[in-house]
Amino acid sequence: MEELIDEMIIGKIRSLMVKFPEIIGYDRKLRNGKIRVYTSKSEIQNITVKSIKVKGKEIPIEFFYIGNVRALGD
Amino acid sequence: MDSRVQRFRPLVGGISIGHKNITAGTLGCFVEDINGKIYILSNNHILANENDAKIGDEILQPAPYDGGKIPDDVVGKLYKFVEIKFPESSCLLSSIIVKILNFISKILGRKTRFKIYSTEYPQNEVDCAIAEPTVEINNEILEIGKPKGSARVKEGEKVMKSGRTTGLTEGEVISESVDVKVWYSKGQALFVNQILVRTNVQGGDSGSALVNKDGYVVGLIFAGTEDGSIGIANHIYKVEEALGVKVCTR
Repeated sequence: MEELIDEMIIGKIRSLMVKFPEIIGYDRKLRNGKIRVYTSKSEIQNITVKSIKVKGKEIPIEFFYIGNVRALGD
Repeated sequence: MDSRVQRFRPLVGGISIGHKNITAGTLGCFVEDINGKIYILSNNHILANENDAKIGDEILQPAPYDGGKIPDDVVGKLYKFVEIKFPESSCLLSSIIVKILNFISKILGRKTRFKIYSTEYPQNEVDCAIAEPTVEINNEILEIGKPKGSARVKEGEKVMKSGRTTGLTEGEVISESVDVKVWYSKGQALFVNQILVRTNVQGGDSGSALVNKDGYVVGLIFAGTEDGSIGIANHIYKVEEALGVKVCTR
């Protein structure tokens, strides 16, 4: 069973989404101890944040490129 | 293009359908309320034109993009939809600044205009709507059959969908707990607790029911990645709760 991330972490990821619009989503469960973040661009060198610190503990971020997500009307 | 974009009577799941003012989407499956009244299930952006439709608006099969016309192809009336919430700003200061900037831009003869938006995204859980059918229906999903009901999705399970554009495709659930921003014609909207499924989806597949190998509907597809390799679906139990219906099994 993967652990659900708490609202404090979600708040921090949401702040990153505002700062870096290429971050378009994230998983609410930790995957192998990492926060899974989805991006719309494959080139993410400008995103220098590699982990989120919560209660003194650094949780690494794993970036997954999926591209933009669109509603599927034709 | 196969027959999924052609006229189907009686109606079945997996075929072209849409509000009179949209392009095309998919009829997912049929649902019923506590009184046993049966409805067509698809997305808000397919049956309710991204919140712009009025209750009672005509629903066409095939959809307008596939040649559907009023009155010959009207198969139902919009009955209910869950509004998609987009970020909007109510900040008075920003509003005044933007009005001044747009006034200056107009005076200078520029074609550019400024618009305010909030960086706070309201949360959505579903993109769904139902329509009251006015023609005969057959409670089956094309190439899948009659749904056995609804169920909670499990990560890693094999699923399938029957869509207007890509037909019957199989896939695997990657996650059932994703928050993601989705592009609509009105802008981006944030959806929380969504299902991520590795499968083939394209424009026009919106509204397809996501069905597990046991024949239970687990999700409602509404979005996908640009390369068509990942679909995003609402949890069907959230759709049922929001619309006050259950997947029809009779």
